[in-house]
Amino acid sequence: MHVIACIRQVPDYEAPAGLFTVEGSPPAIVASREVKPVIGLFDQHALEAALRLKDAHGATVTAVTLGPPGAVDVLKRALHMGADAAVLIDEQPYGQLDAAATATVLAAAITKLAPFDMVLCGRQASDWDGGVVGAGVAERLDLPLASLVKALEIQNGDTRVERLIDGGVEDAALPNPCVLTVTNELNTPRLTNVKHILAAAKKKIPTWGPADLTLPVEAVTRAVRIRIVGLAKPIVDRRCEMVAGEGPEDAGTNLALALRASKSL
Amino acid sequence: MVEFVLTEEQIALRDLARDFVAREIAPVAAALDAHPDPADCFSWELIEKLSESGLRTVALDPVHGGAGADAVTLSMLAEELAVGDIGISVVMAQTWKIAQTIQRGGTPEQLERFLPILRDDPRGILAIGITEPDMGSDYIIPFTSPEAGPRMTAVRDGEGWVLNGMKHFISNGSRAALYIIFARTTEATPMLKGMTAFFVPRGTPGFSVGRVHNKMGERLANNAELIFENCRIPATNLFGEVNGGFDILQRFFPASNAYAAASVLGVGRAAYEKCLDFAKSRVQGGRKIIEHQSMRLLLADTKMRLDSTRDYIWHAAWASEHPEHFDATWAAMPKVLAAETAVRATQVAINMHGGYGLMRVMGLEKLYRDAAMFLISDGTQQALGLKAANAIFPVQNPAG
Repeated sequence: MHVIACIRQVPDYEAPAGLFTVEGSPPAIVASREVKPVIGLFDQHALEAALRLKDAHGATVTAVTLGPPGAVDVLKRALHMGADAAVLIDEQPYGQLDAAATATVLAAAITKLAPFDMVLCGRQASDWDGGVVGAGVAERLDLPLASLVKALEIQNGDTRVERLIDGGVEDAALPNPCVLTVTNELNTPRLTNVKHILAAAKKKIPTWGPADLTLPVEAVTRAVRIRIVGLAKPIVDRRCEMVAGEGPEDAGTNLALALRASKSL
Repeated sequence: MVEFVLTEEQIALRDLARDFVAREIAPVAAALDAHPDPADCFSWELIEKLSESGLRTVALDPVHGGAGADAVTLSMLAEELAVGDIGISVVMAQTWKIAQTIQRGGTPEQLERFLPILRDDPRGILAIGITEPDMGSDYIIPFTSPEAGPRMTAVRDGEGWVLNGMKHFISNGSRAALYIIFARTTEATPMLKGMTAFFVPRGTPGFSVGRVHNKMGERLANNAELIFENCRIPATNLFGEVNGGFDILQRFFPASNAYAAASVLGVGRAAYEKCLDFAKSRVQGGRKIIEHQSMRLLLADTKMRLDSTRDYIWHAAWASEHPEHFDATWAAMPKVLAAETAVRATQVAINMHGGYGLMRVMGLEKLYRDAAMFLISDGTQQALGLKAANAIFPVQNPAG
């Protein structure tokens, strides 16, 4: 069984908004040096799901990321967690990519990694929160997709999942190979491990470019559908208003009325 | 020129230790520390998780199933774990240094017999028994009079040895799977020539654990009494030469002091990091206190002391594995400096937090207790100072 986990390097999603600025034209979000790059939150759960398939079924796990050369750090972390192999796809030749173009490049890389049985992605990236790359990969590879997966197991060669749906859970079965996008309910990502850290030192992480993927830059550029024309940080308006009352109950009533008047309730 | 630029592997190990602290140690350390019964402060769950991560056996050579971490790497890891809790750091540092010692000084037969106890048992931790009720600083300085040294005896009996006596204050004492025990084998002789080391596995008949000591700090590590009553061990449990116990200490534990230093340094760093976070958010006089000059100077001063202490520790640790560069004072003074640095850092932290610093929920009084423990633990500051002084200028009778 070969499982491919698509992971993306993002600025630490727990960093406060004050450490980010909007700069340049076209506008881009720039993180301060204090903000560490990490594996996207949901991608960590996708990687963990792949590693659990390795534990349970002996799957071989390949981690793939599309990013700048520095994104190799998240691939190293994937190896330190137990992935068997990792591939960096250099995004630089392609310029600014949107979700559709990202899916095009990832699909080409995954095709090159065939044969495979499953592709795992996070439900959405932790920076842009788009949530469409996984579906785009499935569409380009012409594979069945289950999104928002919160539970996963292999049964008789098929993949059985529980999907989060509005107000409930949907059970679904998919033939392999398939593409899944996973939620944070699926598992708790493991820590790295000394054994895998030592093993990773002996592994090479190849970097693939347009020639390796036989995917011309123009084909990817054509796939881009969305341009960012503006970015703005929301203006946070903080006001402090003291709500008084004859006693605690009266003050509580006045607070509720004040919140309703301000349309906070 | 010695450089301490971390390798990719060291960075990955450091990050693992940091993640382990954040996920596993930090959430439970205060509650474990608060148990009134000291035995309950120990957590097998944490040790088993350290086993899972590979950190428990990181000091074993790769051929024995570990990572072969060197002394600088182990010092770095001891500091990282101590940022979460010094007790956990000490449990591991004891195990690491004893594992190194067995690998370097044990016979092939002993390696084959004893290393699996550490490698294969997820609860496999190690202890070394030297200190007795009437022997503490004796062996550190060391005193050379025949009266100084262990009261515990080992007597040859046929094909084996019989141990009688008592140890106390022994780190991991109530929990270890394997002990290295030092006992007197020649009476009326200075311990330098009359003390011998032995391997004693847990469960050996005649060996039992006494009280678990109720300590002011470092409570997540259990220190305990060890009691030996006609405890018979085979001759093959002799570690090194008969009457060569002190030689074992000198040859195989040069980094021991550095590891203890690194552990207490981690407490100082934890205090500093709490200060930094607090100073960035606490507002007084309309400004964050990190913008107040008096606070800024305290932060800079504390960081200077932590960084320079770390350099001293790492240098001593590195030199412990490059004997041609080792200065004998480095087997004593890193812990002295680190304990002073950490105690000072925790005092600064309490001071900087004002009234909040006095509240137990802030965790600073725990750090203060943990740091102060190490003014004594692993050798009093004075005993270690005399040990270093003897290395600089030996005198016939250090006690005088």
